[in-house]
Amino acid sequence: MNWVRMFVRSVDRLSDLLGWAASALVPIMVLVVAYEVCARYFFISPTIWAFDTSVFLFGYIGLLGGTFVMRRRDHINVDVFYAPRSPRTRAWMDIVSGLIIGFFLILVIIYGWQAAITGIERGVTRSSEWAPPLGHYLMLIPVSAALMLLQATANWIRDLYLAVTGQDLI
Amino acid sequence: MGIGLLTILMVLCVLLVFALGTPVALGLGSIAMGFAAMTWGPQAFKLIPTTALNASSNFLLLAIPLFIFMGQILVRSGLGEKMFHAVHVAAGRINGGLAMGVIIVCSLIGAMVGIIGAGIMTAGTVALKPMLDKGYDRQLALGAIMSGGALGILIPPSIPMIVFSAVTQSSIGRMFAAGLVPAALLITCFITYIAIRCWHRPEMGPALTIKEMGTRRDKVLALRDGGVSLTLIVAVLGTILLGIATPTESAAIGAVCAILLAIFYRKFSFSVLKVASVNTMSLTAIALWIIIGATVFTNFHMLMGAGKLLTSFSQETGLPPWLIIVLMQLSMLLMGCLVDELIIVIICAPLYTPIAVSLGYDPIWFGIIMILNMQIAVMTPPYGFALFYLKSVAPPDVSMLDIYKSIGPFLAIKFCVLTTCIIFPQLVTWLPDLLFD
Repeated sequence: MNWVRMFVRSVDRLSDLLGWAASALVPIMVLVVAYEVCARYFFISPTIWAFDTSVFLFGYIGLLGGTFVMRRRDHINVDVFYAPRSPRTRAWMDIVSGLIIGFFLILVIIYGWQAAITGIERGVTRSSEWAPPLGHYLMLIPVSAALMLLQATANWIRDLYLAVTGQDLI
Repeated sequence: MGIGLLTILMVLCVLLVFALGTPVALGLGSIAMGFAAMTWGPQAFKLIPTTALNASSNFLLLAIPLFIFMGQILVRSGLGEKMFHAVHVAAGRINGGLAMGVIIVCSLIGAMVGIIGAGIMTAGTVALKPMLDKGYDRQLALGAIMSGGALGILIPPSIPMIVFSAVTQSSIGRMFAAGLVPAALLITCFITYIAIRCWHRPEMGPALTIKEMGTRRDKVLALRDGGVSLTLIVAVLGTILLGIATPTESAAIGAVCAILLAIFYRKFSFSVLKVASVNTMSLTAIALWIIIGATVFTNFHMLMGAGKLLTSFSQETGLPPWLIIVLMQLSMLLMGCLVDELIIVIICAPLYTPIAVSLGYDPIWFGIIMILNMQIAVMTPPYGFALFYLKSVAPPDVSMLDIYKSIGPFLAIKFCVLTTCIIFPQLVTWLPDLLFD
């Protein structure tokens, strides 16, 4: 059981770390977009990199952030029937939910991975003047889904323990 | 499997997943792909990477984190206090003046950010307690805060409008302009309602005494500080209207201005920046994954012929066009009780808008009545973000039941304005036609 606890704790920590890292990108994205406007209107020299960079930052924040949200169990759900139940019943419901969302995440990982590998082999770039390589961004999709699946698994183990024993794992 | 049967089964599964409390974003993706596996086979799974890539590289959607970040900074900048102080000075002597002030300040905040949370959280933290202390009617105070805050998505800039434009490829400038007249109509109705109630029964919203108003010097200072907030509106809306910045870029400018203002009011610190960034990251991730999951769902449904189903339904049944619009609105009202406004816009905009256009209606008008419908959705229990936001910042003795009880009259007003805008489309289309043609 101690190994399981250690696994769940490490996954939690990893997700927290990722969350902080993704949140640090937020102010940078704000500055990049604001800088582009200044560059265009005050310095009369629009940049070629700001547009693509800000889009990349948005993707990194939003996709990777999903793991942190999963850790906090903040992904939006409809809790009309869910909230009034006892913690143990909720844990059983979450176990079923975990299987449902696991199905989608696994598909995102497999098919996102295939698309990313194809993209990297072909050397795809963004269709803009700057044309930065797109491979890392394609890879971001399966990677963030995999991280989210990892956290979902940790949550699932917790729910299972709570549902079966009636006690919190940690 | 016919598309009709498929749709019914998919809807049933969605309801089941909702009842379970499964995260909506991933649940919708799973349902769509589960049906895809049964009908099309694994070929359909290739939808996922394309959809995810499109969603996460749409520059319009960048406005979401930028406006959320701006709202987060604004809520903590101390600007809200100044604006409310200015409004107290201006309207405090009138019965119900504080509640009217909430509507006005929330509208101004709505003109700075495109979300409902900023207005509700600012008003809920700053203005609710003074109103309750003063003896304001609880339901009037709570209802005014939620209705005022909800205006944030009707007054430009607006994230649901941006999402609507992104998925239906309509002009975001026109959408923004079209929202203004209905918003003015709502503001007028809210203020009139508060005025009538408080004129009829002054104890519902007692006026401030002369002593509570402070000296003349205080008043001048308060009005000056409140006036500063207008610069933010100029920074955001002004840059869009003058063509200096796109809506997304104006959000970034607004965010930078909000930081400067917070520094100016000495409220800016590393911890403010950190909390704002973490909250922005969370809300962005929630929104982006919902957009991905819901778009996978709608894309699959469309590929299976959902668009044709609805079009043929409207042709074969021979229902008059206006009745179809009403049915669409009713379906969104129902959904509004269960899911949040972003999900409804993502699912319904691509499904309904082409039909409305084929029936001869203006897509911009249709978008605006959808947003007006969302004004109701955010406030209808059991699931409405306005309710949750207010509960999260209200004093502990304000129960969820208090909040539920307060919505009635305000919902009635919103419903009337929605109906008016459906019956008189000119209210919506007049301003954009004037500005853009």
